[in-house]
Amino acid sequence: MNGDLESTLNELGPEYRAVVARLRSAREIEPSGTRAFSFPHTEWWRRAGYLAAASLAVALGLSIFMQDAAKAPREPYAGAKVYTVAYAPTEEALEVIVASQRADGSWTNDFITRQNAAALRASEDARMKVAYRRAVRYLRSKGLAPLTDEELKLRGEYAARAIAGA
Amino acid sequence: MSDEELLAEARKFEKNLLNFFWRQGVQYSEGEDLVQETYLRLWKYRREYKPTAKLSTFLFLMARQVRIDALRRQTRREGREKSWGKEAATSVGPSVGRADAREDVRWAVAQLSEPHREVVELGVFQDLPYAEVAEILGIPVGTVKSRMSNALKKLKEVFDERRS
Repeated sequence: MNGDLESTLNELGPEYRAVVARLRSAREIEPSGTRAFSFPHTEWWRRAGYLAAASLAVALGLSIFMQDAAKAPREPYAGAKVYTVAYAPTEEALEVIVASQRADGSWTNDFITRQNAAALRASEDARMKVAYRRAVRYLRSKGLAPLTDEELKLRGEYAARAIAGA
Repeated sequence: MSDEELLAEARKFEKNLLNFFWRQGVQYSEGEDLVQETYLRLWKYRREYKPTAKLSTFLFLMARQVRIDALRRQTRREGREKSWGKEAATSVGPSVGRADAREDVRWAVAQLSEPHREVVELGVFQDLPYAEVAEILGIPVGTVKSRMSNALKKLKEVFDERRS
């Protein structure tokens, strides 16, 4: 019995001790034990949260990728194709073509027109002749050829497509 | 104190909580529900518990609130203004013909008013110091002391009447 209650009982008198004793003598009820409570396992929830976040990030990435893929231009025909850009065979255009050529003879986004190729071939500049030879070597290795003037007209002056073997 | 340690400590009070509810007129099965509800509330507010304070104070504070909420739910459900205590007093009768001290005690406690019953429950049955009882009930220690005296006097009367 705690001191506070003891003090109250001292003030009230001994008969009240019997009251408290009677109250406490009653057997208490027992839990059935059929209901078990447990706190949510926070560590598991945290891990599940990380996993969910990672899954969401992957799903989001895939979604963006698929969206971009869907936005890509649809090819109306099968087979190897190459993009080309036509420049008027000016000195400046040829400089650009040479400067943007990659080591394997290709260009990052564009390819060369037959007209530009002819200009490179006819040039007195050794760099341009080298560029021409690289381009031809690359084209042959891919089974491609520069666009003809007709093809350029059909597909537009700039960023037109070249069909494999054209 | 980790969550697991807090739960392990709180589980030691399961019987105390069940009897806390039961002695106030709550049926056994419903009492078990309220115990679970108390633990859920403990989980919800576990961050507010400071290990420097006594867990019993924190736990009974929540148990009391759970009981008050249950009372409000019942009042709304039944659409009447009866207090839980009054209802308990009528639903729990003396165990005439049955030598069941437990039921007699429950009945006697049910004769007390709500404030007196709370003080007896915490101060006598749970054996909590008056300062802790005062903190749980949100009243001054002096009020706990006076309520305890009055409650014990009333209980003595009830037992005396019962004997006669």
